[in-house]
Amino acid sequence: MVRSITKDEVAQHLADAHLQAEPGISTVFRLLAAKRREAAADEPIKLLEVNENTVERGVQPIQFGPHAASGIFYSSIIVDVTPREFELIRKKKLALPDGWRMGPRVAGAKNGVK
Amino acid sequence: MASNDQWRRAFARQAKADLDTRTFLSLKEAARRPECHRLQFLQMACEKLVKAHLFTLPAVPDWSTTSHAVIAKHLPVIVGEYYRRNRGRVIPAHVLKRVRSLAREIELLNPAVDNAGQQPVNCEYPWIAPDDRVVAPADHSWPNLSLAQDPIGNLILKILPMAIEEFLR
Repeated sequence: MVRSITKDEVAQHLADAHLQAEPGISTVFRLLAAKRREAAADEPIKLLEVNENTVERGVQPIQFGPHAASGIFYSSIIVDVTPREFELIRKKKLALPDGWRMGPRVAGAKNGVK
Repeated sequence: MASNDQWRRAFARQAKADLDTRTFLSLKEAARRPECHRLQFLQMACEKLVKAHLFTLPAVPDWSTTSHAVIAKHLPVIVGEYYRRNRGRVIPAHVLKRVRSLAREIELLNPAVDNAGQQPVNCEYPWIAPDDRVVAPADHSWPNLSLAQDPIGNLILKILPMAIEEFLR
């Protein structure tokens, strides 16, 4: 019997791939929608990345479709922010959209700084 | 006669519509559509953004409205310039290198750009694979273009709408 790959596993795969590919990324967190919505099959994986090498534009979600060839079987949304913007999110001076909340850290350093 | 400003804004307007369609195709039910469609709208958005940029140059090239092979050369310039103004420093070399590489991959998605026949894979029309199979873009897995897995793909997609907004002004 073939076991289906879970959303959590794909999220981890994505976070690890990003962390490995871009030295500017220090930490990757999950972003979570409201409980029932997050559990829906068509709810995208959402990652927040702290990236020294990105541009500053506040919280700007970028949407991606699934890409089976690279093991990404779900839609995903990536929000990458600079360390300065991340601090604003932590202090609740920069809001996450759509009622999203910070989820667990899935890759990288604990405090968002390498 | 139409002014360069009119052309710039019209190309930026179309780039925005193409990019919005790529986003629409990435979520919910629409995300089940083949990847070739998302890539096609990305390629079209990049091409029109570059053309909007070309109409801001002091000497607008004759081929600005017709050539498809414009992304590899000009998209990295737009991304690098936007990055410099946004962060107050030049774009890191490794990031620019990857932007250039991805820009070329995106440019090659157009069927009219085939690297002198060496790269038949494109988003619109079937091609003959090395094993003589005829492959439809809808069935291709696009192993070299996993933008979700590439932080630089994310950066390009983050800068595109901001650059388009500037050219709409």
